[in-house]
Amino acid sequence: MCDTFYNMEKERKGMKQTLHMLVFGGLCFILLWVSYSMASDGRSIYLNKCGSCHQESGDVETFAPSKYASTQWRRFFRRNKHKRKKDISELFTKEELEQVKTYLILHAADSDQPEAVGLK
Amino acid sequence: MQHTSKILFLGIMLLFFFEPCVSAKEKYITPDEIVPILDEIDRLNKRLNELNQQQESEKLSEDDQRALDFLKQDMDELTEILERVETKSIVDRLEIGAEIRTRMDWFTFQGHDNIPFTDHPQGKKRDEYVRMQPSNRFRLNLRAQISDNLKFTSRLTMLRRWSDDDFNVYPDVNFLNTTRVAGNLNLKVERAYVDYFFEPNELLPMAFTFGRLPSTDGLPTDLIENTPRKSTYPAIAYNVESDGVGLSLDLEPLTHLPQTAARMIAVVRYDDHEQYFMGKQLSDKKGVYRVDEKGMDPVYFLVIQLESHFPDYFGGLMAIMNVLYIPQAPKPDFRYNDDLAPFYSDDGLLFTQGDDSLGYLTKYTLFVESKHFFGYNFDWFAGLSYLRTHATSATEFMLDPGELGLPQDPLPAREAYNLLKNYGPSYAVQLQALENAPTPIGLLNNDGQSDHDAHCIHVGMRIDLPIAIKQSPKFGIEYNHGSQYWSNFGQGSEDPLQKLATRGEAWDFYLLQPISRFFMLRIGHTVTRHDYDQNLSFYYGQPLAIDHKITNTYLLMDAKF
Repeated sequence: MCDTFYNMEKERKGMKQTLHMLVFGGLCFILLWVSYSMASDGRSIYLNKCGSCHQESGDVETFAPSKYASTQWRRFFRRNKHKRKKDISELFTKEELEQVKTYLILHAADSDQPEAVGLK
Repeated sequence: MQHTSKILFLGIMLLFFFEPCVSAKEKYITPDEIVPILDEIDRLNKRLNELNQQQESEKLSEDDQRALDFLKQDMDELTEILERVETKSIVDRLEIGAEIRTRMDWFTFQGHDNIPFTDHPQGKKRDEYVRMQPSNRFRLNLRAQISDNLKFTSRLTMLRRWSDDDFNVYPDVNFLNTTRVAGNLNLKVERAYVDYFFEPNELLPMAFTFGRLPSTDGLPTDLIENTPRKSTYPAIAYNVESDGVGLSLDLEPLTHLPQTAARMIAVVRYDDHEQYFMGKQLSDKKGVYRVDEKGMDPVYFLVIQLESHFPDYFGGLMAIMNVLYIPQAPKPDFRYNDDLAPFYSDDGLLFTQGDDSLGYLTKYTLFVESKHFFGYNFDWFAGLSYLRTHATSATEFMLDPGELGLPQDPLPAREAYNLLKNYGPSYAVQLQALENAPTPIGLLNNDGQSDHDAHCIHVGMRIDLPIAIKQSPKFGIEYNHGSQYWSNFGQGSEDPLQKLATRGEAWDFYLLQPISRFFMLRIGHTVTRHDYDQNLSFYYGQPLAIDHKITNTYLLMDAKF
């Protein structure tokens, strides 16, 4: 009795499962498309615009967000310290600068660190 | 197994003693950020001295003199502050962080209860609803870079339903999740370990890790929690609390692939022969130097993992291959279970029989995770796990009719009523309760012989929703399916539904909204559909058919600093 009872249930669920997988695939596709068509954010601005000068092969040294702690990044932007070496106000809009600042602060030296066995 | 652990122990010891730079380089030096500032102050002081000398030879104007005096005062003040900061940074070795989480859960349950230890449905279908169940979680994170090659990391945790002091105790597996289930107000050590980095060969840097290891919050928990990686292993491979030792080989210099490493850990659950349950001693012996024959033998977990990052290939991803091996699966100790405790007494009427080990088990896992896939705000992961058991024995719950004065040989307790009821009504009454005794308990079987294999797939993705606010909300979906004999070894998950242990399928949807870098909100909905139960948990017994559907809807607030 139990086998029949649960087996019938399972057959019904099997069909549902296939439907679920199709829905999942469809959702993934839509979300991927939405993601691709999104506007740029702090990370991509940091990679593309900052990275256009701060690159390993270039004269300007590379830097990671972990170069400074969050407070130091805030001070860096508040005092516009970049201007001492180069004025970048023409290269970035105000919104872009704000997005880069947010990204750098989120990944600053005092942000959450990864943990795993033997991870430096 | 003894040989395996001896070889592992000897290997670690050899590496340790032959490692050329044994002494840790003490890091009592001034932090890099402060040295240049102090140099700058020295330089300015020199300049001031020069100006002083210049002042003596040339008379400065009144304004210049005042400015110079202010500058001197500022320099003195700055020097004093920086010296104080420098002293503090040298003395403060421990970085402290904290996390507070308040979570509210709603649950629904639909399905039949089974007659105990059978797959026969009992009664009508149940439909239950648990209204808002709030809980608080507090974590204290401590870390220290003790020296250049010695690092300490730990996390203390309290998890508690609001004003509820019950402490969930699952003695057969609680060594895997003591800090991860809701309990009382005590802070418990979830992880506390030290990494010792050394280089026996410059092409093969290594790290020796010991303590309570980072093996909870398995990948891809980093996506749903919106944190960096917090565990060594994928959640479908191994996601439990572990006391043990580990050795990591940094393969980056050899392979030139970033963050490529082989990581091996050996974890043991060792019974101290003084079993207690709810304050009551279950062992008949007292003293760690005595042997309690009915206690559980040590459980060894050996986990080997190879991992690498491919930032420039496949849209940028991390790939992990993991093998988990349990060389002997000890028989269970159910003395804490009131129904089964009589089988462990010394009266001889009821007893258990079977080998100390139920067999051995191997699990293979392949896991990939990609963050910012091809540079877009799209993260995804996929994990596939395959498990194989090799059964050798089962624990049988027996009755010896000889103790009742009957001539039969010992027989399984659950058959005693049918076989012996005709000997007299007094026997029938006495033996009827044994009809609910469990079938033999083997390694995912009830005959002690059947080998089984199982699999689990776990896939999911997360995107930043295109909403023009400072920190975009993130939406994620996860799906997992586990086959009949799937065993997750994921008791360390904080998910109240333990969705990755589901023998059936589970869907998880969530939306998280970072408010600031310290504060986050998340709402989520999880649906699990169970085709088979967990029987007596862990790897004990044959999974039995069920028809449970459980949902969990939650809202949580997370602050970390």
